[in-house]
Amino acid sequence: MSECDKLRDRLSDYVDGELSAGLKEELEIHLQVCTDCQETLHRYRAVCYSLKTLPSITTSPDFERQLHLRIQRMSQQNSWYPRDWKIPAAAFVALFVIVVGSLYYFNFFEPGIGMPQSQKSNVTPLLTPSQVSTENETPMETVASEEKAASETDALTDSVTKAVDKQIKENIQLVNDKTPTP
Amino acid sequence: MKQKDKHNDRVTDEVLIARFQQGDVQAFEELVRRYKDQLLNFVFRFVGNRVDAEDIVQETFFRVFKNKHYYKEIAKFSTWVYTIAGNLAKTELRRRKRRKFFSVSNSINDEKDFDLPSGDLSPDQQVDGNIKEKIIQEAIDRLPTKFREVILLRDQQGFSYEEISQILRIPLGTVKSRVNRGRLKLQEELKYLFESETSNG
Repeated sequence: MSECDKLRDRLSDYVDGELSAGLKEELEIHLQVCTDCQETLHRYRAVCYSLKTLPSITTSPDFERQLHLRIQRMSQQNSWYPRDWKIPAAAFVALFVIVVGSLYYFNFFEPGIGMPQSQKSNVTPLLTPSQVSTENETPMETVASEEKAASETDALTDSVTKAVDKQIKENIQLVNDKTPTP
Repeated sequence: MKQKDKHNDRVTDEVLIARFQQGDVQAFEELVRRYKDQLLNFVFRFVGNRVDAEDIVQETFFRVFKNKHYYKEIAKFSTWVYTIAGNLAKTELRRRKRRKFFSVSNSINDEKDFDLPSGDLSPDQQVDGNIKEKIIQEAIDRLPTKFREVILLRDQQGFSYEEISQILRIPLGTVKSRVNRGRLKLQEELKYLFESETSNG
């Protein structure tokens, strides 16, 4: 390493006065003969001085007010939810469980609502499918229910016809029985 | 605990932050008053823009307020608050770099503003002073961030090498090496300025 490089590496310590006496003397001997290093040292010191003496600025007059407002806004936002959120959260969960549990419990005894699927099949429906309003049904479902209703009407008509036929036959038999044979 | 400064009767920063941690907001206000201007000058020279610098200092104190319990007594309050401000300033520089990368027309130098130095200087001296300050600031801006932060902390703010090591969380030897290299780079950048000064007497 040349003497110039050595000086450049230790300039900071030299300027800050942190070199050992021996090294300081060694570098100063070099400085007396090297004009390049003399100029570097001069500029180096000028840089340190310039940085120390850069004009200062001050914060704007409303700096502290702005900071205060910002902190106030943060405090207001924080007041919407408590800092310790675990207690209200646990209370909410407990309330939810109680409400849902109560609803389930009271509906459990009403047929068809809130009951397990296995028990639903044993319950007689209050209304037949044809009696259920079809307001919200899709067109396909409407067609199916209409066909079912039509087939039930046909079956009823058949049974009525059969009953009437039977009654007529019984009446004819009764008339025949009462009529004296020649 | 040392309650007061050796050389004067004012309460130390560490006592103030301890009081603030216990809920004394006036202690926080006192810390703001003590540090707002020196932090502003550090951040202003770091990012080269006054508006951004003031925003960063606001954010620094806001974080001190919010995270007061993160401060531990093992460190000095000054090193803690400068760590926060320095990190925010570096984040701002990275943000600008990204913005510059995605924007062809954008130029950081357009955003710079410089305060007129007040004092008893003649108009000519003021103009010279402004130009010199502008030249020095532009040379600082051209320095890589790792050199910029150490020379500002050392020469502008007057921190010791050990304090800088604590603020930046880097080894002492690295701090010394960076300070030296930063000053050398700056004297190269400002060669013509200081040479003309010498030639003018």
